[in-house]
Order: sequence, then structure tokens, then C-alpha cells
Amino acid sequence: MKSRLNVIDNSGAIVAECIKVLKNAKWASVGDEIVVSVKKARPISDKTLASQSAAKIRKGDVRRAVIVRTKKEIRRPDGRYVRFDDNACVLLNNQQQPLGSRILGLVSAELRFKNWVKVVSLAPRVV
Amino acid sequence: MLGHSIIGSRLSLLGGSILSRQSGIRTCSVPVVAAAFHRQSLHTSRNVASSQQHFIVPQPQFDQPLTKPEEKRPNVMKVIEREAIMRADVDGRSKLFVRRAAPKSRLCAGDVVFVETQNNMSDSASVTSFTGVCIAIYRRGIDTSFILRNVIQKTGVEMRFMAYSPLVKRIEVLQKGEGFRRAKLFYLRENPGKTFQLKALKKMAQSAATAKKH
Repeated sequence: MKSRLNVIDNSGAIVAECIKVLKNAKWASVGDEIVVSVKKARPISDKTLASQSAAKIRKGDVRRAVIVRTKKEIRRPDGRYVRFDDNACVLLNNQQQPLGSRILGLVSAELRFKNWVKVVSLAPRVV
Repeated sequence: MLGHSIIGSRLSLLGGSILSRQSGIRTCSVPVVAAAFHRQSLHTSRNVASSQQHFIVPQPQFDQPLTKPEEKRPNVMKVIEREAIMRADVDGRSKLFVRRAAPKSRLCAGDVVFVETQNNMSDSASVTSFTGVCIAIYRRGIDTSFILRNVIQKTGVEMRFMAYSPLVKRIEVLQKGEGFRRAKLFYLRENPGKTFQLKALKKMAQSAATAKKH
């Protein structure tokens, strides 16, 4: 809750803040769905507005997202721990598919266990 | 009886003492599995035959201890741990984790390490590998682990591996670290300097390592 995450897709958002964890728990980890409010977004020029009438992300938007990296170490079933240097998420649409068409950084392999197939397939590298 | 391991006989002696203590109190519910086990091992004539079929009698996991403990009064936990390490030590990796060894022959913080892990126990062909700078070693006997850190796509990634896990297939020191004066190099998270800019070199070493294997 209230932690800031980097958004690593090309939806237009850069930094988002977690405002709700959607699983009756206090904390969310990799592969969990959360609600975020966009705190920082890439500026939308008129051209892109004209060409793409689809909803663009602005500052203040409230969206769902899935966490793809955490700074807190995650235990894998084989006993190893994985830890990243930042917290990161990917924004989702209403069908729980990623909003952006690309993902611009590595994601954790926990997503594969939790059936976020689309996110894993878009990611350039899964660790 | 003579063929039993020292630990086994020690355990059964221990169990025997429990039994003798509990034989005074007849109404007390004896742990029957243990009782059956010790009845088998000690050939005592306790009357628990009626409950024999309902319980699984635990078989010793290993028949013989690998070496006879040299100490006069061995610490059982130490012996068990030593044996566990000897069993897990399939490729001489325990030499990497000897604390008092020369820095050349052991794993030190600051080394560039390549680790290959199996993805599951059933399929030994599917492996993933990870290369990184070792920033910490936790020496805990059979639970020994170490942390590797690397920067992948501008994101720092740290992996903590269990050194004696059967899933860890290969641990290889690619390059010895230089100029590190600490046992734990957590400061590399904040100011890495040029530690992780050896990546091109590292990848070369990694491909070389895999090429050597195949």
C-alpha cells in the first residue's frame, strides 16, 4: 500500500502508486494484482492524441496493475531467493491483459507460475 | 545389530531409554511408530504386534554411515551434518566453502561465479544458469548459501542459492575478485563502481563455460 512502483510498459505511465491490494492481504508480491494511481506519465502530444483515440494514460488515472518485480526477496520452491533492485508493475485493462503493447524490462518468473502468460510472453527477459 | 549405524544405535538407545521410562506408566500412550521401530531394531519382546500392520515402520534412509566418527564422544548433530554434506558433495563443491582454505581454492566474496540449476527433479536436461558477482556467503553447514548479484537490463538482480541443493548442478568460479576487503559486499548495491561493468567479459566467460561443457 502506498508504495511507488515503476511502470515498465509503453502505456505512457512512468510511476504509479499502489492504492489497493486485491487479495485480502496487507502486502502484495510478484504476480499479485493491485490498483494503482498514476503519479507520473509521459506527456501526450496532440499528434498522438489525434492518431490514437484509445485511452491514454494521464497523471491521476486509476488503473489495475500486476507486480512484476519486487525489492523484497521472493522465495522460490527450490529454496533460492530472488531480489530485484526496484518495484515494478505493468498496467492492465479490464480483461486483465497488459495495456501497453511492449514491456521494457525483465520480469520475475513467478508470473509464469501465476498464469500471467501474456505479460511473460511480452517481456524481453524472464529471471 | 552390529551392522547398524552409530547414529542408528544411538537413536535406538535413546528410544530404549524413553521406552524404559514409559514402561513404568502403563496407561501412557507410547508413540507406537517409534515403539514398533525400536522393537524391530532392539528385538525386545514388547507386545505391540497387534498394532504392527497399521503403522509404517520407518526404514533407515541410509544403511551405513560414510565414515566412522573419529571422536571418542561424537556430537550426533555434527556427525549427521558432516555426512549430509558428504552425500550432497557430488562434484567437490564443498571445497569452495571451506572457510580456512587459501583464497585461491575457495569461493570468496567478489568472485564472478557461474551457477547452473535444474528446473525440476524429473527432467535433468532443462537448466537455467545465472552469472554474477558473489556478494555474500552464509556458511551454515548443509544449509550453506551464497548471493550472486548481477545487473541485467539496467536492473540489479540478486539470487541466493543453496550451495548443497541437488538442483544446483554446477558452481564455477569464473574470475577471482580483486580489491575486495570485506566478507559481505552489500555496499555494491548502492555504489557498484565498475564491478558490474564486466558484463561483456562475463558473458564471454559464460559462453566459454557452456562451450567447454558440451
